[in-house]
Order: sequence, then structure tokens, then C-alpha cells
Amino acid sequence: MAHLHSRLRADKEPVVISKNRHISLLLAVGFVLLLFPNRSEALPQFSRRYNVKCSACHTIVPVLNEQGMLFQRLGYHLPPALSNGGVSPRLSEILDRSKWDITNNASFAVTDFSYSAERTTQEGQAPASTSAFQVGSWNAYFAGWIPDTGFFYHAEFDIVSGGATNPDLSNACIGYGGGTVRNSWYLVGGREHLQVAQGTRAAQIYSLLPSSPSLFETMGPTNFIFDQSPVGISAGYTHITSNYKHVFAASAKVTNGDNADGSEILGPSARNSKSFWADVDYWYAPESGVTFVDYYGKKDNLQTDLTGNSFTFQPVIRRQGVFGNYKLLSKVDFLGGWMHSHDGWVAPDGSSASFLGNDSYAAIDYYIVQGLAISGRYDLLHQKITGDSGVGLQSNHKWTIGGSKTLTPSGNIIGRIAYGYQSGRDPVAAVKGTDRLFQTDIAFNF
Amino acid sequence: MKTQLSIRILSGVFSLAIVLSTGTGAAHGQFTQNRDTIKIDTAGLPPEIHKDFRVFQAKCNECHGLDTSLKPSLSAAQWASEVKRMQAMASAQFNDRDADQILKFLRYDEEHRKAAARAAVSADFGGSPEAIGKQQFESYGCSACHSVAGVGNTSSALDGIGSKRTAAELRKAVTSPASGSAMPPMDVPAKDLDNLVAYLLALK
Repeated sequence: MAHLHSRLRADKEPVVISKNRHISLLLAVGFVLLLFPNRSEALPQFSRRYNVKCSACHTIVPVLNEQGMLFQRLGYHLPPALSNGGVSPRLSEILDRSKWDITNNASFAVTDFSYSAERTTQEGQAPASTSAFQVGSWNAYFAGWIPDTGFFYHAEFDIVSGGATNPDLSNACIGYGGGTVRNSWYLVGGREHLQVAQGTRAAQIYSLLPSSPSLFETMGPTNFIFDQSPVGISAGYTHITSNYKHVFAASAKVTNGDNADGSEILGPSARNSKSFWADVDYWYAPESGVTFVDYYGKKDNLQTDLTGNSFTFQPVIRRQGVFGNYKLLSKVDFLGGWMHSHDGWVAPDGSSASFLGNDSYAAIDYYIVQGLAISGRYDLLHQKITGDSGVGLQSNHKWTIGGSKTLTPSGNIIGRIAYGYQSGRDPVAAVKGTDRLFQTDIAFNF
Repeated sequence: MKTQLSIRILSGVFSLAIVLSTGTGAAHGQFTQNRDTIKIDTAGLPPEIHKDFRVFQAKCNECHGLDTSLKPSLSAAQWASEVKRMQAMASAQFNDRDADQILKFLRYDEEHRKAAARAAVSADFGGSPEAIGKQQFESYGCSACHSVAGVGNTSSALDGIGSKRTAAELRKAVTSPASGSAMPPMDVPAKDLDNLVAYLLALK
């Protein structure tokens, strides 16, 4: 969805946005986010390379388990056994010596076919209903390792996103990993999804439900969205104890940041300020953990004054969050997160203010048997614009229920069904809107 | 506009060509590698072993197909080492009690089903050492990790191995693999090893 989102934003030139149009844009973005199923994100070539099921690294695709996250942090190498007293091998010593070929480095058909039906309402407008069968996404991945080196790479080519054919290279990065399995580090450069391989499960954008937690995918009034694929460099460190009982990890990233319309800056830009992102993670086996996230950036933003003319200002964008999950008896996963937003804001009358948000979610995934789960999630957004131009604290509530089932022994074909209801007012003009969405899709990962 | 449309069409055709030429093979590989071919006669298992089998089935099948464990033939000590190694993997979610139950089933399976299969090969097959070795390649479960002529696990093909390795090297590779290798040392009787090596040497 982030890729769809960034594509939608990248296709648009910055425009002058009046207050009402701003609201409409926010609602339209929300509509788009809800209508289209989430991206498929799975790399089947790794399953082929290691002769394991998808469930070796995923609870159910696309949700990563602890091994899947560590697989990425170790430069796409399967974490080896780490027993008490055992010598920790260097990453170079666990390099896979199987023959490099295209089938264990590329996947060309990561796709989903979906049906969705939606009804939206908005104050002052007639209700709208839509429904659609569509090929939601079709992505190709090229990811793996360079034989006999510590280099690894990851590229994602989106052929279809959000039901529309629009080729886009949404991820393209190369990295190097070193150290030992117990104490490893990596350095990555290129266009990389903000949260891939970073954060414990509750801090990941992927969920068993087709949509991600709202706090990751809701665009703020400053045209900022947390989920993005910027260009930059990132570095990480991981410490693992015996039997993977405890894992401590930290990551940091410097990126180009966003354009005024919220699209990622992919090349040279007159705006020289960068965005900084960091996380600290602690995994507690089996499959539980906590993550602290911090984001700081500065971007251009377009606003319309009282006379209808547009002006640009540079808000500082800040996000701080804490996320955690606890998996009980390998069956029930309790997840939750809270993120605080604090962005600069200039009102139409020219007065300075702030956009404040305290957004949270709570979710339960119940794995009935391997490959079958039911899920429920509640999202709550508390947001406001400070100062005289603000309309007070506004809330958005959303609850979603659904189920996922793998349809093959490998776990590479997944069926999902979900229903969600959202209700609330936007923080800029307090216009009320509701959204009911039914989604079902089948995702293929070859 | 026409250029953009042409690029999109070309991209689509190119992608489709790649999928048809490569993706289908990959997909086939992925489907087959985790499809279990060995069926355990659970009705014939003693009640206690049946419980152990269920733990084995539930825990081991989370990450890989059961054939991965049901094909290879290892000694009791090797299975103990292998289960301990699996328990120390990041995705392992089984405790010491589960590990004991898994080990009990694997030992039972080794002493009954696999032993019977090996005995059948030795008793019924009176062909050349290469031919017997080919049968033993299957009965020892080598195809769980290796393939010959595209049959078995293609991630480690042994085609042409006979022209790359000597008999001594192959013996060592089977019984004492290099450290760091994913292959466990195989506890193979001398006669069976002779036949296996003869078969591998014939793969030229």
C-alpha cells in the first residue's frame, strides 16, 4: 500500500489546496487506502533456496516471525543454530554455498486478486458505494546475496499496484553485513522501505488483516505518512543470545525525506535537510518483543491563505512511538502500539501552530492451527491543530475483523477475508465521515 | 502519451515472458519441495509413539516438509544432535519435552520403517553395485537434500559428481562432511557405502 501510496503521490505535481479541497483530498486518500488491498510482500525465492516453507520466516505471509526478521538483519542468510556454549560463526562462515541461480534469487509473480465492496459517507455529501474485482497487485522481486561475499541486495518492481498497471521500482538497495551471528551489523544504501527488517512485530506495517494499522498509513495534514520508501542509507546492529532467547537490535537511517506533496525525494533536491529515523528493539522468545521508534524530518508544505493564495512553509515532522507484542502459548498474539505526532503547522491566517496526534492500536491474532488465523484490530486516532484556527481534538475510530488461511503446504497461497468500519472527523475541519469496507483476496507468491 | 503506453505494454510483455520462462519452473519447484511423499502408517504405531509422532508432525512441519526428516537415515546420536540443533534455531518453538518426543519418534522410525526399507533393498536387489547404490541413495534419504537428473531436492544437484570427485573424496563427503557443511555425517555400513560411492562415481 505504501508503494501504491507513494506512486499516487509521485504522480502529482504540488497543487494549491484550499481548505475544503484539503479535506476532500484527505478523505480521498483515506478512501484509496481502504479500497485497495494491501501489498503482497513475500520473497518466495528464499523458500526455494533453503528448502523450507514460508512459515519458517512468516507466521502467515506477509507477517514475519522472529526468524524472518533476523533473516533480513543477517543479510538474507538463515540464522543458524545458536546453542549454549556454542561458538558464534562469522556471517561469512554461514554464507550459503548453494548454486546461485535465478529461481533462488527472484520471484516474478507475487500478486493478489481481490474483491472489495465499500460504502462511504461524508457530511454534506451523498453516500457513495463501490465494489470491484481486481488484480490488486503484481510485484516482482530480485533479492539475494552475492556469492562468496557479505553483500546482499533487494529490488522490488511493481507492475500492478492498487489495480492499475503502473511499473515502478519501489525498492532498490544493496547492503553489506559483517560480524558474527551473535553480534552482527549491516549497512544498506538505496531506496528502501522504511520498516523492512526493523522493528518487532507490532511495529511492522504488515498485518494478517489486509490493511495496516491506521497510524502507519494515515496521511497527516502536513502530507506526511510514516510508511514510505525513501532513498538514503541505513545501518543496524543486532545482538543475539543463545537459543535466540533474547535479541537486542538498533537501527538508524538518514534519507532524503519527502516533497511537499508527500512523495519521496528520489534524486537531487533543492531542499537539503534530511530525515532521520531510528529504532531500538528487544525480542523475547518465543515471538514477543517491544520497539521504540523515533523520526525527525523537515519538509516543504503547501498551504492556502485567507485570500486564496498559496504559500510554502517548512514544518518539522516528529514521530515517537512504542510498540509491543506478546505471543501466548504460540497461539494468541497480542499486539499494540502508540505513536505521538508533533508537526509544525501554519494556519491560513498565517499564525503558527502545531499538528498533534496521539494514535494507537490494539490487535489480537489467534492462530487456530498452523496456517489458519482469525484477527481483530481497533485503531484510534486522536488528532488536533493547536491555536485559534484549530477545530479542537478530533477522533477517528476503526475496527476490523478478519481471517487468513494458507491454501498450500508451502504456505505460498493465502486467502483472506476482512470487514472494517471507520468513523470519525478529520483534524483540520472536523468533517465527519464513515467507511464500511468488505475485502476478500487471494494472494499468490511464486 | 504514446511513449508511456508503449513502455507499459513492453514492460507487461517482458514481465509475462519472464514469468512464463522462469517463474513457472520456480513455482513448480516450490510446490514440490514441501509436498510430503512419505506417508506414516499411524494406525500401526504403538500408542506412545503415536503421541510422539503428533508432536513431530506439529513442530517440524512448521518450517519444512516432513519428508526432510523422514527421508534421511541417521544414527541415534546423529538424530539427537540434529534435534538439538533444530531446537537452537530462531524459529524453533519446542521445549525439551517436545524435543524428547520428537527424538523418540525419529528413533522408532529409524529402527522400524527405514530399517525395513534398507533391508528390502539389500535382500531383493541383486544387481550391480551402481544399481544397488541407486536404490540405497533413496533408502538413505539422500534425495531429501540432493537431486539426480532433476529428481529430488534440486538445490544441491549431484549430476556429474562422478567426474569431479574421487572415490575417496566421496567416501569422506558421506561419512565426514566438511565442517560448516549442512550435511550431517552419515552412519553407513561399509558395504552400503561401497555401493553408494559406486553409484555416485557413475554419475558422469
